[in-house]
Amino acid sequence: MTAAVQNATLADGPTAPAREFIRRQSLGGWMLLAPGVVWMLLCLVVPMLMMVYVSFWTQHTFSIESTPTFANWIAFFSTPTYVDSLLTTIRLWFITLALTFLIGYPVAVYIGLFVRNRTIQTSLLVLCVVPFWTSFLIRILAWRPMLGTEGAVNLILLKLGLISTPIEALLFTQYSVIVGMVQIYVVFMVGPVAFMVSRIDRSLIEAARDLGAGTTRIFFTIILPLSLPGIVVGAIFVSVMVLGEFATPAALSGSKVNLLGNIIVTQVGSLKWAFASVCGVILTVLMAVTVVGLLRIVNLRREI
Amino acid sequence: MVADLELVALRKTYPGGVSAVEDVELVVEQGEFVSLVGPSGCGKTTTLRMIAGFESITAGEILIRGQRINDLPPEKRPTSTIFQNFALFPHMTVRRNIEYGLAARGIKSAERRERSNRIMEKLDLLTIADRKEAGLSGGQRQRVALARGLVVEPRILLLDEPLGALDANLRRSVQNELKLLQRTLGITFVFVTHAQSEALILSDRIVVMNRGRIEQVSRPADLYTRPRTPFVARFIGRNTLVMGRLKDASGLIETSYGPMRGVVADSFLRAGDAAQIVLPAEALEPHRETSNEAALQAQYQGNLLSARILAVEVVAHTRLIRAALSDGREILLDGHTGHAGGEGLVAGSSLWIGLRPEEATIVAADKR
Repeated sequence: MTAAVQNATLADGPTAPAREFIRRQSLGGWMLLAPGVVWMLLCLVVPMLMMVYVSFWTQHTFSIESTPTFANWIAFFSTPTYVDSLLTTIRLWFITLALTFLIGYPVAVYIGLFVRNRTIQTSLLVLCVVPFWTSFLIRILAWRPMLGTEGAVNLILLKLGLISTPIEALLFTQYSVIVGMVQIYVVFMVGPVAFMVSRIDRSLIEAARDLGAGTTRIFFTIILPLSLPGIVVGAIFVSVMVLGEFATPAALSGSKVNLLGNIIVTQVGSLKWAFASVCGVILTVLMAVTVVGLLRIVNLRREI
Repeated sequence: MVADLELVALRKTYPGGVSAVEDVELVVEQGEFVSLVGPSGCGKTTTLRMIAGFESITAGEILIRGQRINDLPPEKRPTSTIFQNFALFPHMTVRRNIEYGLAARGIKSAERRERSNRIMEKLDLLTIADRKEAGLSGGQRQRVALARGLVVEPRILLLDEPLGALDANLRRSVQNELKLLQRTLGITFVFVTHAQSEALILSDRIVVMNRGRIEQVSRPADLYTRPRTPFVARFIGRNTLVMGRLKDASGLIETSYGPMRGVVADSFLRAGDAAQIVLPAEALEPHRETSNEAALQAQYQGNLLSARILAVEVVAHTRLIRAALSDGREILLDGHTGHAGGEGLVAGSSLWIGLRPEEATIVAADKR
């Protein structure tokens, strides 16, 4: 039956001019796609494949040759320094992500939900972006006079009499790295969440109240689920940037914290391209898994 | 018996001194279907939102079954609101939407399910229980919103123009459903709409509001035939208002078209006051100019106007005549085509317009 129907459709299929038209249409479609495809191939696919390929090359002290080998991969996973670096990267990433959410979400909900005036809403969001008007490095280095032994934080605590000797652990530890990264990336959580929250129809909240829901219930059943796409987008932004970090730990950890990004910088600096590629592949896979996993939570295409 | 809903000298003034509702007094009996109608900005929605608890009350009181609810937050009031856009939770299924109010009241899931099933069966929603808002038609959304509001068994259901978003055909069938539902449940409905026809069809009583005040509270038929204020006369139906001076409080008014008789609807009107007579389009009867004038004068007790036809439009059984009075003022007649003397009523010809005194109403002159 189905076969017969299919045959019939094939037989009664488009006439020759129609087929020609469809062919030209699809050709036109491909032509329109071409610039994007070429761009993606040259700038994304080829470099990525290259990176994977190079990670299997043979590395000598000052040179590199294309003989395939697993040596780099084995070296990475058998050296405690590198495995530790990977684990540190993942740990700091999770901590930073959690803190940007905990700090950024309330701010975003305040801006998106409680500030009714559109102008004030926009002004507050712009205010969040103001730090970006200075260079990335300056923003990070500014934390040194804040957190140092004779820095602002210690001075204030001393003057208030809360501590008798300066806290040395504030700077050049992984905490200072976390502080720096959270401050820089929290705005990427605030933006998308504030956007989603501001789009929540006020009448939904009124309806929930009308039906007897208190503030806590409204938050967990209405506001949180409806802002989830914003959280996912924010988490993707923060994750991708934190996983690629090398400058913040370099500037604020006193070289005590080495993320995978820092390893890559060092390796490239000593011309160890193959090994740097291994780290690059690992980071890329980590990011890809994260992004895919986060996109599984919500259907962004439908929500935004 | 204690009234279901009572508004006592209710007033709402926004910060900045803008007054939205002024001294609204209303008593609604249990099971009544009351509509608030009026032009936009007349305070009807503000009044409804004050009853629901979304707007603070500047002065006055709201009583539900004798209990003052001024200070109760919306979640504690025995009312349910049906919003204009329905405000369904888009991330929840129909069932979870309906069970939301039950869950908020801490009702166990077994009972929640039973009660949501019952209301979904009544409103024919069981087949779409697992769909989300995006997959529903306008009529279905409206029924889900109703089910969600009714399942918590409110004393009063507040409806804020819930039919505004529906197309004309659907609106009609939903209106019938709504009326039937209200009758079977016996719950008090307070309905806000700017569509007077909807209010006339559905309501037991209609409250006409204008500029934050109540103009008139009447049964639909009375509102239509006996407007008490010039505003109501203009807002409800298609009436022509003619200015004049009241000669006799029993219902004689001197107009520029001669003396006319009507029923005085405003008890404050005294002989000598400026007043106007309301001529409803449906009550005006056309007669060919060749008719016997004396007989017509007698038949309508002097309520006879001479006019010239500008346009005639026949739609099915109704004949709409646009005519110009002696001074050029336009008047509208809306009659049945079966009415005698239809032939000869063509554009350009003259006619007599008769109105029985009991169908004319005399209201006050417009306030300056």
